[in-house]
Amino acid sequence: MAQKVSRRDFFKVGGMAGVAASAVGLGIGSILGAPAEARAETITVTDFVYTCPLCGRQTTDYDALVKHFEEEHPEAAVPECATLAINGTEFKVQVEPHWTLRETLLKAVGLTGNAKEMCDRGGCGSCTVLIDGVPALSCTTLAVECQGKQIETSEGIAADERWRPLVEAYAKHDAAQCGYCTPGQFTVAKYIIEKYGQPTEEQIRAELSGNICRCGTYSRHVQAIQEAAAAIEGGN
Amino acid sequence: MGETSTWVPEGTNQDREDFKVVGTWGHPGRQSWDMVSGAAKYPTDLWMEGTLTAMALRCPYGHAKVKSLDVSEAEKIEGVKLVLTYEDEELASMPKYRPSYYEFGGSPLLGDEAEFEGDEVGAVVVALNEEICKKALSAIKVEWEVLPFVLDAREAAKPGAPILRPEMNPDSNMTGNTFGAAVQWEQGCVEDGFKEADHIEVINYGRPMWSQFRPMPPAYFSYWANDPWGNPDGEKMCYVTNHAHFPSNGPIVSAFMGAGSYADKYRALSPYMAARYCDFVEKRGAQFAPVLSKRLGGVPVRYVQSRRESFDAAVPQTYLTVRIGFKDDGTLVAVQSKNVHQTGARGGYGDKTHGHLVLPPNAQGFKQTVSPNIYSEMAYYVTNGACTTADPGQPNYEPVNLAFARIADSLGMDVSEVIMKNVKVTEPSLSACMAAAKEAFDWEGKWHLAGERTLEDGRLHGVACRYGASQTWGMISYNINLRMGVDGKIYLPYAEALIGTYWPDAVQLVVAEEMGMKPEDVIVYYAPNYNNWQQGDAADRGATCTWAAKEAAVLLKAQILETGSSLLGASVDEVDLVDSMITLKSDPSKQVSLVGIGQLAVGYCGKPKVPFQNDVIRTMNVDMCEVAVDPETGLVEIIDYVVAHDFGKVIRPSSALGQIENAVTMNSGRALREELVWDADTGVLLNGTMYDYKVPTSLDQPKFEPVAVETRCGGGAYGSTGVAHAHANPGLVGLAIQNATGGDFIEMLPYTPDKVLAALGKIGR
Amino acid sequence: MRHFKHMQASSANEAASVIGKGNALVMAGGTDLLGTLKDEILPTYPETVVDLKAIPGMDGISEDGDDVVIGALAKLADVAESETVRANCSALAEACARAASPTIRHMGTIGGNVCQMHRCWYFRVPDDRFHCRRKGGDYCPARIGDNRYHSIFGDQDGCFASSSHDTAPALVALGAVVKTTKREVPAEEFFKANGVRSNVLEDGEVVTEIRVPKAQKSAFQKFALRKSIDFPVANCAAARLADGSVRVALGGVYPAPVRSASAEAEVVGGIGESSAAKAGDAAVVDCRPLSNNEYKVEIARTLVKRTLLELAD
Repeated sequence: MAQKVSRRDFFKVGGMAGVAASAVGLGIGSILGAPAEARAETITVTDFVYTCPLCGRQTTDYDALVKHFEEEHPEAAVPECATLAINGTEFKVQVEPHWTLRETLLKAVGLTGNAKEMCDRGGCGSCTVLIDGVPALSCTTLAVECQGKQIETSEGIAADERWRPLVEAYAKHDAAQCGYCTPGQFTVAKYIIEKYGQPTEEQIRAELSGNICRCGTYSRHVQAIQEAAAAIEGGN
Repeated sequence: MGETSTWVPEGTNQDREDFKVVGTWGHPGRQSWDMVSGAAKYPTDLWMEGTLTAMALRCPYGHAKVKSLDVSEAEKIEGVKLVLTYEDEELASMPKYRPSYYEFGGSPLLGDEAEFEGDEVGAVVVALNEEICKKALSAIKVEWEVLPFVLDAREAAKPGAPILRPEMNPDSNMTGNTFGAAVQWEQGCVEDGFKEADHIEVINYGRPMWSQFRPMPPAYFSYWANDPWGNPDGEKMCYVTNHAHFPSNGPIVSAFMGAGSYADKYRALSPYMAARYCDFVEKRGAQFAPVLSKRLGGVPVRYVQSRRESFDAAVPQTYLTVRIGFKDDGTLVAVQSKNVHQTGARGGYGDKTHGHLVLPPNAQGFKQTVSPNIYSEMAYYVTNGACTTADPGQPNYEPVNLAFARIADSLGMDVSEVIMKNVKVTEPSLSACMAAAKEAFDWEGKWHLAGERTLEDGRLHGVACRYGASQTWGMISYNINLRMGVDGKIYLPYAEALIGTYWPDAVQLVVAEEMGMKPEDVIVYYAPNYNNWQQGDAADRGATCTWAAKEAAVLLKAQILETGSSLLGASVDEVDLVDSMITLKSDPSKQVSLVGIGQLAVGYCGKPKVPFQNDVIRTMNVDMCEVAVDPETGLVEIIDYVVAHDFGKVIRPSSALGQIENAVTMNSGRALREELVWDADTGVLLNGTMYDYKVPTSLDQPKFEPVAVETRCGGGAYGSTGVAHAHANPGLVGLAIQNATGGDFIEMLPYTPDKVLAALGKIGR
Repeated sequence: MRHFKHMQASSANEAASVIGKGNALVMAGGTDLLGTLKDEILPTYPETVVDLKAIPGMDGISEDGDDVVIGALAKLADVAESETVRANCSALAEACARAASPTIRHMGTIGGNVCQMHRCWYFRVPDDRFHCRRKGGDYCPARIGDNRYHSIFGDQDGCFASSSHDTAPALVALGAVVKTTKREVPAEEFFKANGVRSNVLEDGEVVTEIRVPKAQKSAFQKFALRKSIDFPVANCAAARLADGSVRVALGGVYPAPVRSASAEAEVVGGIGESSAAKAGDAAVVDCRPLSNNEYKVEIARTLVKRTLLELAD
């Protein structure tokens, strides 16, 4: 279900950026145990405010930002205007050439499931997204290089009816303790089921071995993925 | 040795047997869905339009003082919004002695002295983004006075060592780096004990600094906005991220006391903060962020810290020397133990600062043995390198188990027998745990004398066994509010930030059980301004709050039945709550729903009365570890690990076993790989990356089996208890390695190939 | 990261000419480069980063007569799973399969792996805390510092780092050739450290292709503390080439991979328990371990023996 909203309203959509929406910042799922419907819908940000990274000047369109750079910062690299296809929706956002996809997901898009910073150097996997169906570290991928590619995040996978059994299995098996690395693991889990169908424990552990969990939940991922894989196959 | 624990539990229905909900699987956690999907917002996920970035100046030296600071060039840089230095009046007015137990030394929030490489010092910059912050920081001209540093507690303890914090210890004794005098504890007469002993052995054990390893590099986000609740003084409300796993605004306020603030001015922004297991390191960024935001008119400010900078919190080094005397039959008769313990750069969290440990930790395990003669001494020493905070009690059971293993090894005995022979109170818990562990592990089939078994693949095989007791600390009172809504559901607010060990999910099941509600009709919800805690300590809170919740549930149920019974035309005694319905006991088909009855509420505050911690040995646990050691490379693999833990009563199996999985996995990393490494010449941290600081991956997680033992002997609801530090005993892996190699016990963790090869005599030491 | 201009190259020659002219760097998978930019490891920060990923036709894996030809942009995961590579140069497939983590293998390329900079922890501390030999300084802090992961065969131009690419010993043992926009360099000569680089590339030169002669049989072993993510403490590859000769190379023991002629000499008459053990001993006979890394000698010795034994029939 795609919708077009302003960035301001976008922040108010339940829980997407709880800070602006409410002090509590918790979605329905937190209260009821499992949400009646997943909240991660695909959204196009229509009125992105373009901000000069050097002086903070704000403009309402990209051309004005480029003009501002020509006049005020002729030596500097001009931010780019990238169109990113995330969870099936195109986001047209300002990115700077050196922005990673992780930074972009956090600052420009507001989908933070896979914007998790644990090491920011590719050594932990907490920021893993799928790019054209394959796991990729969003901290180590430049946003400008993602144009024309399909990016999937944990929010998109969780909102997809087909993957509902995977979310349910993750919740049921307590695959999250502190939960910080979980969206990254969950994103890889989808890849694992797509790649293997009914993966073995060895396959799951090998494919998840780039995703660090300090709480030691690894065996729960094995249980959740195997149970979800069976349910998804049975359901199809 | 055969004694029985005698303690009568108190509280309502502690001996319940007819469980319908408690102890069952398949109840997803309240926050699980959000955590999995990514909807849960952690402090690093908070971002609003116009958010400014703040970063602090970091010290490039192991220990240094700012002699002078010139920020004028930094202030001129386009995009820089604010530069504050340690001379700023408001920062300087913030309390040096913060009212919690983070530190002892009274170091200012932003001082002129850095205690370790990477320490925040001198200045903090707010700018449009990280790049500009970095540019501004590099434009600050700093003149440093480089000071001597010490990274190892043993070095700090030596007479003549540089005195690192003279202001901390004005009545300095001989070394100057001691944090107060040594803690001593004695019973019997050790000299007599050694005279009586047939054998005397000395054991050395050392532990490096481990990173606390917070999965989320602390990120602090704060802004000031209108107060939707109406602030009495009309001021703006400060929204700020949590910085500890306490109920939200109590500690936040404590951090800002210097700003002349009070509780109602602050709101926690997120109940999530990622794992911080016993991590009480001072979170300076949490305290800067609101001040910086306020100075800039309330705009959102995000104080960032990189992964490398997040290695500033550590589990302290500890060095033990234990001299034991024992008889030919393996009975321990004398113990003399000395513990050199580290406090890190800004002090720590221990008996000196907190007061909840009355014994030196190295005495606690021995006190539970039959040995009549014990002398124990522990002293804390200040070092540079990182802040340490973890409880010194963490290795409580390490020394006593090293002693048992040494007795077994010297006498050719089975260590499990030495344990049962020497621990005083073995019934019912220790016996049950030992039996369960032996069966799950196949101890009889796997145990052998040191150096006696080689696997088919040529690796050396070793096993080890240790016991422990679940410490019941000075329990806190829990403040439970239960309300029945007009929708017939039961509501319970809580306000603790989630750090990975979590009680609301267990409490939900206890309330459902006790009231006769379906679990889904009991709604435990995050309420950011609610305070569940009264006076007391954090540990064992999981069990305490289930107990308080049970008592509250009993009270609310009585109210509901009183109101509801009249609807069925019956007396209170004739009705019960069954599956969320008021039900006539004599004819269960006659039922009335709770919906629309009204709103009823109770508050209950209390805690189970239990004996003080060091005398409590009701719930025990036994761990067994099996390793394979490659004699050519020194690589150690944990091939089996069994934990038999007496939970008293398992409330929520998924949580309970998850804690064991967590502990065993973390412990395996600390036993085999983890340590913080500094360059000895410069004091610069060398392995502050996730490539070099080696947290176990899914392929490194040992094969393990948690076995739940239920003796109903705990202090929580239905005799439950938690896990806490019970399995933080990497020395067990070292004992298994020694059983494999037949060589010496490796005296310093972690057990890396270099040390194993040296123990095997393959290389020099 | 600080600002840079981003350019998408359409050919290797175009990329080479851009980096030859100005302050620019090429990037393939980015798994190494972006970290070094975040930590400001490099002596000069690039004005421009030239992305190679979109260059067409540079990620293929094919057979060309007696060689397997791998485009520099082939992903490590693809090389690891390639039937062609597994059948003809399995040491390389195994090296790629053991490199880094699964996600990094989906991103990182073989060209990037052979060009990866050293993982020495002194070199990698951010903000130039140690201005070491690699960065143009005049000392190697590892020489007397914590050198547990460093060279056991002495220094190269004053640097005691150890090579950390998993593919390097495999390519050396297999007798591969690294093809660049300028020339062809045998792998054995390619990995000679040169400033911050771990190879002989010059300014304005980009790796385009790896040619690996088909071997009769080859094997790779890696020793690391964790089973994933870690760079090697040491690694080893051995190959029986088409002509029947056996080559052995060690990685992680010197700033460049080390081919051991003396180990190879021990197995001229065939590979068995005894000759493999002798080869292991011979491979480390010239070791000069530092204060903290004598254990690596034992690991190197064992890896040579075990890797050779994988070649035994």
